[in-house]
Amino acid sequence: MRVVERLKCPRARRGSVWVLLIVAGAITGSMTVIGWSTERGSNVLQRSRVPGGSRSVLNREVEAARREGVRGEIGVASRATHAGSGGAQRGGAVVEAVAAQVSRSDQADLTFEIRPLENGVQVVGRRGRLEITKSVHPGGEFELELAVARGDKVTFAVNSESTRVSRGKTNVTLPHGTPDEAAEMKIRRLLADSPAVAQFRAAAAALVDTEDSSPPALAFVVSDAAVGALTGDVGAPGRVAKHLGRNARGRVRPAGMAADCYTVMETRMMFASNDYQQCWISTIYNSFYQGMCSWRWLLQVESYWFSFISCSGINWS
Amino acid sequence: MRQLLGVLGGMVVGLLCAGVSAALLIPALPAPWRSEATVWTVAAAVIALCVGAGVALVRPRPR
Repeated sequence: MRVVERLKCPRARRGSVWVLLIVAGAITGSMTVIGWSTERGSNVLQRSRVPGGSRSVLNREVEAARREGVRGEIGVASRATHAGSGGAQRGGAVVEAVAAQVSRSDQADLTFEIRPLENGVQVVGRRGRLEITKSVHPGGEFELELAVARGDKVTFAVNSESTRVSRGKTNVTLPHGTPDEAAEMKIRRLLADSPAVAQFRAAAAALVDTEDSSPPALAFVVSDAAVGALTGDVGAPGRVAKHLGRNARGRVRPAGMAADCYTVMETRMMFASNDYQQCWISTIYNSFYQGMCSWRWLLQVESYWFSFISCSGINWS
Repeated sequence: MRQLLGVLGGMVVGLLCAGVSAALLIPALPAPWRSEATVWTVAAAVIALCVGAGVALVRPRPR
C-alpha cells in the first residue's frame, strides 16, 4: 500500500521540508518513501508508507514512485507519524487521510494545518510555543486543545449537553441545560492563570485584528468566544458575533433614519391617558390626590406635545 | 403694540391648549382617525381660536 499522504506546500522550500520529515521520522514502525512532485505550480510532498518495514518491498516502492514521475530525491525515512492523521487499518494496510492543507497568517504569526478526520475536520495552529488543536465533528461537537510547549495544557470538549474543561489533573464539567454557578466559578479559577489560554486569546485577537476570514482562522475566532465566556469575559461572544457579521453589515445602507414622530407621540399620549385613568381610580378616596393626577397628566402631555413639535420640524441641532 | 401682545399671548396659550387638545383627542378618536394630519388640523384650529381670542381681548373697546 503506498501513497498514503500528500502534503501540499505552496510556499515551502521542498528541500527543507523534505529533510525535516526524514529527521522527524520515528524509529519504529514501517518504512516510508518520501519524494516530491509539482502539481499546478505547488510542491506536493508525497509520502508512502510500507507496512512491515521490509527493505525489499520498500525498494520496489521507490522504483514505482520513480516510474510514476515523482521527481527529485526519493529516499527512505523511518516512519513519521503524527496524532490525528486519521489513520485506519484496512485489509492489513495502513491508509491515512489524504492531505493536510497548510496556510499561514503572517500578520497574526499563525500557521494553520487542516486535515480531515474520519468523522470531522481537525485544525491545528501554531504560534510560537503555542499549539492549538481543534477537532470539529459533524454533530457540532468539538474538542479544543491548547498546549504550550513543555508547559501548560488545557482541553475543552464541547457537545450538546455539556462543556468539559481539563487542565492538568483537574476536570470540570459544566452542563448546558441547568445553570451551575459553582462549576462556572471553578472553571474561571482554573483558567485564570493559564498561559495557554492567555496565548490563545492573544492569537485569536490578532486574527480578529487582521480580519482573516479563512476557515481555520474563523474556527479559532469562534472558539475564542467560547473560551472567553468560560474565563469570565462575558462580552467575548458578542464581539466575535460582530466580527463575523461585519461583511453582511457593510453591505447594508440605511435608506432613511427618519423617526416617526407622530407614532411616538401617539403611543406616549395613549400611555399617559391610561396612566391618568389608573391614577384617578386608585386615588378615588382623596380629591387632592386626584388633582395631582391631573397635573401630572398635564405635564406629561405638554412634554410629549412639544417633543412632537420639535421632532417634526423645529430641529435646532 | 397691544395687538401684537394679543397675537403672541394667543399663540402661546394656543400652543399649550393644542397639546391638551391632542392628548384628549387621540385616545378618544377611533383608530382610523388617529393621524398626524388630524392632530395638526386640530392644533391649527385651536391656535387660531386662541390668537383670535387674544386679539379680541386686547381690542380697544368703545366707552
